[in-house]
Amino acid sequence: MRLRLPAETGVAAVVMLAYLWLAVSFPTFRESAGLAVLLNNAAEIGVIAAGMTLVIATGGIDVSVGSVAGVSAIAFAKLLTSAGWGLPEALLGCLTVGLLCGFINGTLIARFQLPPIVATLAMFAAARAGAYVLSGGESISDLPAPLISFGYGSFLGIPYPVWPAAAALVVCGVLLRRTAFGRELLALGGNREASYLSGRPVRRIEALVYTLNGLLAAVAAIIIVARGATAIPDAGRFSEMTAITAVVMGGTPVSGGKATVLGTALGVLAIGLITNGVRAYGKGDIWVLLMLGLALLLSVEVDRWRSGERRVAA
Amino acid sequence: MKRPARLWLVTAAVGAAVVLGSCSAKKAEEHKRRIAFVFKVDGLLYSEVCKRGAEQAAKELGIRVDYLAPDKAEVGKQIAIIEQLIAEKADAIVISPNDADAIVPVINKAMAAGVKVFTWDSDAPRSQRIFYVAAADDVQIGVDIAEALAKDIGGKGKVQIVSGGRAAANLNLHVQGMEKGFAKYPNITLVKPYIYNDDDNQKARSMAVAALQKHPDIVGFACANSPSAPAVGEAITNLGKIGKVKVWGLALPSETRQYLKSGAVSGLMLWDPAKLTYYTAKAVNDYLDGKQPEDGAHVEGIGKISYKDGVVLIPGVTITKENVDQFDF
Repeated sequence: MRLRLPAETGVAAVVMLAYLWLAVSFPTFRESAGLAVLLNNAAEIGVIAAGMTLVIATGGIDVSVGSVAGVSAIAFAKLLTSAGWGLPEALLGCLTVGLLCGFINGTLIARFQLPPIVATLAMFAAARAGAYVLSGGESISDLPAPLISFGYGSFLGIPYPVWPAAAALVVCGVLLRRTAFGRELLALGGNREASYLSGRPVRRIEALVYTLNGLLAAVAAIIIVARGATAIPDAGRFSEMTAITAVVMGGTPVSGGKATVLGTALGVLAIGLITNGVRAYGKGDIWVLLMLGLALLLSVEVDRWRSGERRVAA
Repeated sequence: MKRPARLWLVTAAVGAAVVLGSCSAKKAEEHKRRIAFVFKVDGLLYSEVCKRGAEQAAKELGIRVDYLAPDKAEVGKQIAIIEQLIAEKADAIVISPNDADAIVPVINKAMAAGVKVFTWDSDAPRSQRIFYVAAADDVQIGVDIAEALAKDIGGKGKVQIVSGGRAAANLNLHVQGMEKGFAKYPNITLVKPYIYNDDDNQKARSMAVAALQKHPDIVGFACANSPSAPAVGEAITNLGKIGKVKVWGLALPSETRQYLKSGAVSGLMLWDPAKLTYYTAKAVNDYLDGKQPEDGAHVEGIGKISYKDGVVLIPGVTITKENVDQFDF
């Protein structure tokens, strides 16, 4: 008999190691101000990674979220500036853009049976192009003050952007674990054909997951714009990759059928710790990429050791 | 194992780490002065050269000098880095902002928190930053580039202005200077819109090629940011237009050397970014010691500096194929 360790073991190990190391080396990591900055920086990835966990649970992938965040960010800023909309209307407009992009992804995948990587790769290109066309390649600033203060204010000592991120993670976690939708979604990821043949609403579930992901990309866009005080057409670039890293690091297998939102949340934390840790060492962000790669390998390796899984040599 | 137990186990483990980490608080070692530079984007050669100057200053002054930069030229990412530096209570932050306005709130926040903020390379004039260190005057260098290029093309023809980020204050001042310089030549027309390549080497090349295809009669390029001159040089080399199209700009000699030698690029107006950053670190360190920069002072290895209205200027140089080999950056 051996103890079954949870799927989050690998990522929990990374978070603990990174945190212990940094807390010993730098006082900031022991102070609430430093932790608040860390969480704030990780917020948009948290939002995107929450939805990405559900997508990966279905055995799919969505590489378009960074671009969808980009086009939503530009649409948001354009509505606020050129169109002169009020903040609430513009927020709704931004979310609608993300939702629509996600809906198109969902339709292409569920209705027209395109492989997720193909459909979302097309959206990856198209949405980024949309961001450039809409903005004319220019960044947009002069955004309303309440929006900017959202980017840096805090409630109960926790920065505003962290709240929607936490909410997205909790909602996705509950959806996955506590609802029929979540069970269908995991069943679909486990065995698509069986799921379909047993009369489950495979298409509707898939379409919903990608639509939700688009919506969450727009939420991330709002955070990005608020924190940057500008919308740039490049907003969100590579965030899909960072989010996928968080999900995989968290112990959700890319093959689908299994997922852990708790793991994803820890993955996001690990990425935040590593990013801020590298900066605390006074190094440029290129080092962050290297460290993230190593952390991903470490956590996945621990996971393989835990589950006793070995890849069969060809 | 049942689900709630898993959640509990993982949470407890991470929680324990946080508690352990927090308790491990060893007594803060003797405080070492810390100056952190925040450049626009990581991985540019220009940035690496600046960093060399920062490291040299750190060694000489015996203080901690960090050189940070986001992985993309995005003001939001710079703000995140600065927020962290405020939390870490750095003594001084020196910024080259990607956006002169969007950076203002966080600069003011840092100043309010007791962190001294300066700018170098690019300014945020509407913020509370203490002073800005630049090489030569940002507008004047644009004027100089325009005049050199105008002479090179015989005072007539179509000229394309090339820059990096649209909101970068220093680049916009270079462009302003170029417009001012070209205004003296009625037979020179400026191609609109100007090219903004976001300091991206690849974009700089492809946008230069696109401009030449759209306007085959362009006779000159005036480049405001460091990746542009070599990228445009490469573009005209590939299109076989060496000699027909002249290029002047602000770039690194090492990146532009081959194009200067082949004649694809006529010349550069610039400064040594390592010296600029080195001097900035020293000036900031002096300020923390209570010493202001002094107008007209002669600084060893730098030359005569000027200081007026919160702007410190150090002298620049003109580089052509004759003297390019004297510069090692």
